[in-house]
Amino acid sequence: MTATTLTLIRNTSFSLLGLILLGYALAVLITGRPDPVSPIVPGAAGILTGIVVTLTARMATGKAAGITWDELTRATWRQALIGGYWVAVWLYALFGLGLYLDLVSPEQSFAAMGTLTGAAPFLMFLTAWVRGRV
Amino acid sequence: MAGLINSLRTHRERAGLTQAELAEAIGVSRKTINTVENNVFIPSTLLALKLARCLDTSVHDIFALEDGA
Repeated sequence: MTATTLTLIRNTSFSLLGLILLGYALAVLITGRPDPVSPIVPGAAGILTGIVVTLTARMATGKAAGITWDELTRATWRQALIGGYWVAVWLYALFGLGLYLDLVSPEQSFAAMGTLTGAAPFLMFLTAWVRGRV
Repeated sequence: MAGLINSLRTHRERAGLTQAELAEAIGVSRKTINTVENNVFIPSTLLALKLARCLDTSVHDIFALEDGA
């Protein structure tokens, strides 16, 4: 498996996971239910992504895996994690206000904040991919 | 990046290598070479040394500080 294929699989998997988590959070907010679909979906999607990325990296040569996670990619992922941290901090403020104003329930906040916090780094990585950085 | 002079593209073209060939030679992605050449990404010392070795030159010949930087 070439580095290009491996990169495509990794980027697609990460993007899909980010979109699934974002979709779950939006569904929570739109429907007003903490479980708009089975609550196992976000966790299962995360675990499946981890399995796919790990297995495909194992199937490739060490050099291809190294190129896939080269210096630029690691720097981009680090930036995505930093961005994700600040998203999480702001979510506390945002949903705290929502709870205070009785716009969301604690159950909704828990489900939406958890999945949005998980989605943020992957969506930032997706943005970097669209910008041609990874 | 303001303050950094980067002549990687010149050295690479002088060596007759494409971005993909240089990337393959030092074990990084073509995008990494592209972003370094365009001053979007500043490489680590290790990567800079690998680039210099592959292009048979010194890091100082590829990267330099602008006057006053």
